[in-house]
Amino acid sequence: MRVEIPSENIFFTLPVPTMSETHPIRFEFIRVASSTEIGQNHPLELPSSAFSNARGSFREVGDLKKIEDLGRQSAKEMMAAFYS
Amino acid sequence: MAFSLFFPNEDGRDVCEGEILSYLNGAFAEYGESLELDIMGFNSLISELKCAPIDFPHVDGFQKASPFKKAAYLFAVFVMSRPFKQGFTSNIFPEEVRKIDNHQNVILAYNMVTDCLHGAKIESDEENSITLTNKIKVSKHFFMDLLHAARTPTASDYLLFSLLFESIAYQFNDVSYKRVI
Repeated sequence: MRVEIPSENIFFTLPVPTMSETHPIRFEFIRVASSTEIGQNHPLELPSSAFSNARGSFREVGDLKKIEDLGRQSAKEMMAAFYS
Repeated sequence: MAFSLFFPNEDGRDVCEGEILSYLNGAFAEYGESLELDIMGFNSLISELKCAPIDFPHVDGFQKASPFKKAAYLFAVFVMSRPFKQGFTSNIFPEEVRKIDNHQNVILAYNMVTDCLHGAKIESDEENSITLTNKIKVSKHFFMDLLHAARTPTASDYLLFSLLFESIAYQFNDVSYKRVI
């Protein structure tokens, strides 16, 4: 997968080597500076180790779309709190 | 795919960027203002999360740390790493919020942590577990104080945030350990 982040009219592509190249995801609402160098000079660092939680666990949410929906919902609740 | 607090997953799959960026993308869509991602700050955050299973600052290590500690660690390193350098500028937040340095990262980290802990299962001992069915909420006044208190954390501050989130989560879910001290 390649992660695309728009910056004004420029769309940057961040390589995410752990994911498939065949499913691009575009984050329309995240911008990076047009002068930012991305890629070889600033590769994203990827975590890699097994996860085991002896004291509890987090819920299953689903795919990236559902995680994005959670972000939307929390933002909506935050704004409602400030303007209620 | 597990939410798993944006840390590495049970199955050993590499995680983080996709989940975090997806979450933030949704938040910005709703806030109506997109902030500029600072790549260095973002990489710093990912690096902290990557190292967490190895050098988590808890006596029993990462694997045995509770979801509160992991969520609080995410909160602390997110705010500390400042993946977004510029604050919100539009009036989606009142001026009293916007004038607080680093308010944007505290707000986004708080959003993430409350969602992480919502529905989390806490193993209090081998036989008993608690599911946090109610999402954490605080008053506006409390949140304003949190914005001030949390704007310049270090990673070691995570434990205080853990106590804070644990206390609020238990209050909202009507559970608690016996108070004896």
